[in-house]
Amino acid sequence: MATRRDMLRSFGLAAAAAAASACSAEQVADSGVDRLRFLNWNDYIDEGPDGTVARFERSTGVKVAYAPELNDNVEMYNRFAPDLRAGKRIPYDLLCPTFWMAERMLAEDLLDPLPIAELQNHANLDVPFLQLPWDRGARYQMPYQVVVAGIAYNEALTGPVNSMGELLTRSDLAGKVSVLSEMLDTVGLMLLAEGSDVTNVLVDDAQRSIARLRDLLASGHVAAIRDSEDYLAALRDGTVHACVAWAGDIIQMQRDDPSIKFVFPTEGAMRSFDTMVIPKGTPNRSAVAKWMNYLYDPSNAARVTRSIQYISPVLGVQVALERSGADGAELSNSPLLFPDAAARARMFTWGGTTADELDALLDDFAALQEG
Amino acid sequence: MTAVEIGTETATAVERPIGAAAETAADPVSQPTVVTRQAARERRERKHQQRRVVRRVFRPLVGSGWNTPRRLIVFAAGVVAAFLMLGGAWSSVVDPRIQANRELRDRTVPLVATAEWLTSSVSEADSALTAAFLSGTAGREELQRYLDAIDRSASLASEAARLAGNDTELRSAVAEINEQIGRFSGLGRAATARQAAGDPKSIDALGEASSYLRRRLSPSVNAFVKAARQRLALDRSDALSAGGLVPVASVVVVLILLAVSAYVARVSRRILNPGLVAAGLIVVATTVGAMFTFSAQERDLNRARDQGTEPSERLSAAGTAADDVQYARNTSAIAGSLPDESTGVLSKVIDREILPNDELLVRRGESRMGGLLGTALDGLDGSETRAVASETVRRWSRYVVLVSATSRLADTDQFTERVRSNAVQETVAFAGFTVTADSLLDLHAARAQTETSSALDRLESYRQFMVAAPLIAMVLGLWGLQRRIGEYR
Repeated sequence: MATRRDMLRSFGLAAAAAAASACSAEQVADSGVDRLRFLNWNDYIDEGPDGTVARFERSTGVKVAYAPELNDNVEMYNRFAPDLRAGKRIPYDLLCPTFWMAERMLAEDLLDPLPIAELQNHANLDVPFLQLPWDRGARYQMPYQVVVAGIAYNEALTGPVNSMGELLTRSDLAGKVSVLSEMLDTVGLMLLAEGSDVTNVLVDDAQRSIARLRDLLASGHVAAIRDSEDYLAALRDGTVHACVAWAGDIIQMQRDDPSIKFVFPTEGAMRSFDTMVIPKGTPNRSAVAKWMNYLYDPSNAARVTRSIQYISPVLGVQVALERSGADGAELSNSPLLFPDAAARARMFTWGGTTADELDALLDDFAALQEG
Repeated sequence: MTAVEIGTETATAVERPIGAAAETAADPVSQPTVVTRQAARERRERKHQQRRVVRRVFRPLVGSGWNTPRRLIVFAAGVVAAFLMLGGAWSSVVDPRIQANRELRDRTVPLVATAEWLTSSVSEADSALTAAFLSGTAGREELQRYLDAIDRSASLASEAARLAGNDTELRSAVAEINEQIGRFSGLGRAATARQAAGDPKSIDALGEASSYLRRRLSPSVNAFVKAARQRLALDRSDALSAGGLVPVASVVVVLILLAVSAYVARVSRRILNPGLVAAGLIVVATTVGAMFTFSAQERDLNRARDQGTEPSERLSAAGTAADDVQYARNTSAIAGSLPDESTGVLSKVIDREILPNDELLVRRGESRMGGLLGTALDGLDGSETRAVASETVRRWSRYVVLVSATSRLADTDQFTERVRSNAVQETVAFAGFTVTADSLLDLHAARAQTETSSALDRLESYRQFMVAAPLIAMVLGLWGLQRRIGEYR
């Protein structure tokens, strides 16, 4: 099963994909202003002739060059930031980085503000995303999907695993545990387990968590740091009994294997989100506005949720799913897609680190993976 | 005739008593006539003497005689003085206006905006704290929001202190607010810590924090906002002051130029002196330009007021009324009583049910909603501002739907139960309204700033003309006079 977290770790492959997407996007760019060139993660939208992109094109007449080739936040940043800083246009009108990268790009003045005057559905943005300290009022970004990291376990192979403490210490799980290759989620969950405030991370605390993970890898308790495709495969074939996981993946997996369970750890879950941003100097702002309005219509957002099953940042999706009937109605009751207040109170978003500090932590974590 | 005779016969009249006219000399009627002539002579002599003194005094200025070229030189000096006076008068109007306008742009307008954000942020801290309390352990997001709001309030207070500059009244008001934010923050943290420890007295601690905010911090912030607004009004008035002096000074100079022109026309027998005419035209044109600039400046400042500071003041008032609703609900639920005020205050914000069409009307700038919020969103221009105003209505409407569901409950227990269970949902919806309203405040502040900057740019650009014009006009006037003087040399 592939998700948007299917990162192409090989730089060569990433660069080739990026070059291919740039080519098609540039071709679209030359053909007029009523075009949208959207760089998104892979398998992150309902595709096909009746998918969201096709329906949008039919509904608005705007042609979309949809490039599901965003593989890595840092790679994307390194590729576009120099041109944006130099005042050059890049071959996309819309990018979908993870929130911390969007924050960095905004801090470096690489983004244009949203065309608020044309975004009547901005009012459907869920309130927590209006309250981000780095973009209060959401004037520069529109969240695309929310990703929650917690614990998944195979009920057929082990008993319930409710906390990170259990995951990282229970002897019956030794060698059967994996963590995610997304540093912010894995280290964030470990910090929560240690009682740290992840909304205001202290670098020393994070480095201690990375050191602890190094020990756990060395002792063999944690078998591996896995990327999105690997961890799902390992969970499916029983190599891994319990792991750090993303809720959206597990909901999809549960269709085929109901014994796979997902829990919000008792110490708290990590929440992050990918968000749509407009690179500086984008000419097709009107097409961007039409796309955002379309995606923020609850019934259209519900179709995306139904397909990819991540938490939607759009208000009214739950009702729209309920009205859609069948599996949509069932999804509308999913506590993973629509966590209640108690569950939301246990979700935290990484914050408080500067770009340099974050880069240093990402490097340390990457060294663990390479080791 | 008599005067001529007196003048010509002076010598013989003195000799008459010796000759045949001795009888006449002894004539008592003729004696006063001689005295009168002597007095007249003496008066004439004095007058000549005075003229000689005057000429002696002015001779160094006008050369060897008080002739026409010298008169023209004196007039030239007068023209120079008149233009210096004009330059001084214009500067005395434009420079203080520029100074006050700069003060508006750099200090007062941002100060008022900061004061309003401070009001909103303090209210948000209060609302988030009570919601965090109501929702118990589920209220961690609200607790975080409370802490964020406290941090934001503290940084806004610092910014306000910076903007207050040397104004001792404002500085001391901000210092007091800073201290009170610290105290409120301490009380809030103590209350939440006691709650987390399961202390039953934590409710009292929360009550103390909330009461402190209502009794001390909010009034201080309100007083600060009021003081900042007063300063705004003063700076605005200074930025538009004394505009009438420009045409008055110009008229005086034009009259002087006309008088000089009339004299020059008489002595040169030419109706127009090109230099003086050009100087006069420059004065008139610059004055007309100045009046247009002042008028445009006033229009900019009016727009800054009408689309910036005043809607922002009305929006703040609506926000305060909305806070009162939320506060009444939360405190009633905590105290286990029905909210007496919340529904009444609710209608203060918008005095009727919001219709689906209202949102569209606000987006088009054709809103006709009543109440504080309705009035605040009335007559806004700018598509972005109207879009955010429309979103504010939508988010307020969502909050009202939630509130109305419990406001109709007449049973205290039911009410308390419902408000407690819906606390997070209500607070989140309320936060959606306040954050969007804050975005609107940002837009108003930006608009006020833009218009004030535009007014300042106009003044600063035109000031260059107002400095150069009297100099050019003076040179032209002197050139005109010099041509006449040259003809006599």
